[in-house]
Amino acid sequence: MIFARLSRRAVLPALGVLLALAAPAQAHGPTPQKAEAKATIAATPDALWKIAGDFAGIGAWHPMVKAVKAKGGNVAGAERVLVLEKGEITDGLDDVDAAQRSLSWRLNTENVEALPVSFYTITLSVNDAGGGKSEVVMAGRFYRGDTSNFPPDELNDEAAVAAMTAFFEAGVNGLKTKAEGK
Amino acid sequence: MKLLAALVFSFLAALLLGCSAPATAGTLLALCQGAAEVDVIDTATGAVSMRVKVDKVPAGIAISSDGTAAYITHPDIGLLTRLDVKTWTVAGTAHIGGQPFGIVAAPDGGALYVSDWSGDRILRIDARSLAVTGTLAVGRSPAHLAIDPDGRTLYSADRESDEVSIINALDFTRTAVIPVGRAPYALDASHPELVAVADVRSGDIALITKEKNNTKRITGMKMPYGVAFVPGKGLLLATDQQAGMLDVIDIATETIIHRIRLGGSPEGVVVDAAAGRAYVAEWFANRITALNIDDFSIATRIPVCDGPRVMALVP
Repeated sequence: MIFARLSRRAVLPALGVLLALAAPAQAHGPTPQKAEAKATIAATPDALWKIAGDFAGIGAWHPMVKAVKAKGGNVAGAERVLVLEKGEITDGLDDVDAAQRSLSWRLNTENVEALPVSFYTITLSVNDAGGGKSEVVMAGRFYRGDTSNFPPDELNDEAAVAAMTAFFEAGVNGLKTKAEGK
Repeated sequence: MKLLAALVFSFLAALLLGCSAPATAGTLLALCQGAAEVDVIDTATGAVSMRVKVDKVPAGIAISSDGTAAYITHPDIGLLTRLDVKTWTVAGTAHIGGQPFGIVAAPDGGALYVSDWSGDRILRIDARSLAVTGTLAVGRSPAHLAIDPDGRTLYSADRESDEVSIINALDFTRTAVIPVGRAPYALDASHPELVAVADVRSGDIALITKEKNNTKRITGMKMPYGVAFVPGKGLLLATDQQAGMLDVIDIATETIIHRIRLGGSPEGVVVDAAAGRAYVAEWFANRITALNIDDFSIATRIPVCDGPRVMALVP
């Protein structure tokens, strides 16, 4: 029930944008964009993975995530609703690879007012940086909020890259703060 | 004097070779969406010999069968570019509209076929004038295309319909619609009996028999984005972007027999059977990785322009 209500609320602003444009955007465009951010963290890979590898736990370390409502545990198919400053989006967990310390998820329900992208896949990986340190990488493939050929400025490729880069940078820095206990 | 003459001769010969070498066998083109650039790779040395700027967001590339022209689609600006493969200059552009994405060239040199992603149709285009000579409705969001080596049958991966359209290229009609996995994206029809289709969202490869349009699915991938048959070996290569792998599939047993970790979001894959090499475009890492197809060891990694997604071998 919660999920039905949330998705309706998330869809309404997107519908408004669509109507305003009078040119329907598609979930997938032909031209994906990419972004990534990295940080070196003074924590062992195992300690960092314990924090970063929990799909439902992103609210504990990502400063842009105000709240999380998750269901389905930490296996492929799980879902989480992220409450961001300007609205909610829903992620679906694709893959948890504990051996590679890698977590992959996708955008299940878009909300271009909250985050100006129509679809993304994101991988978070924790690498051994040696000397008891780790490197965390957040990287994503995504599509602009309006995948037609005439997007408004706030839904074009540049807006999508800027928003995803900001999301990743805040994420890796938030993990650093959390894991280093500062 | 003799020495000087020899030197001059060598210099001229090198110049001549330098001019003609890119158009001969052993040339691979990497198309970079982010950089809006074609990188010309000499496969003998594994080095980029030329960088050619094109209009923004190039997405698809096809080479004419005589190896004289490369055709490039630009979905975001509705444009088609013809690149002269001898001079490496843009020889023509055409505003064909829509979101032109996948492209193939008919083996007889007469026509190009281009998918229009948001228009849910295929355009037939005169290869010389770049004029549109026909349109054909297909499924939703046609992505990449493939054509039979004999030029009679065209295949379209209709991504949002989860189907492959089979098109009679001679009279340009859609003759069959084959359900595959979810979000078919790329295909290879170079095999005499089979068409391979990469289903991105269901994480499998569909194999369609050309004779009866039967399908079988090979599962076990995360997000396959590229497929290429290895001629004469009974093998199929598939890139798995999400997993960062190149998968080697044994067609007879329908199993993945080898996985090579590449990283870098591998997307396009092509096979140069004569040279014994496979090439994978790593979209995130901005490099082309060359592998030996006898043991699938990595031969070399070639840094290229930003955002390589697809490649083409110049015949």
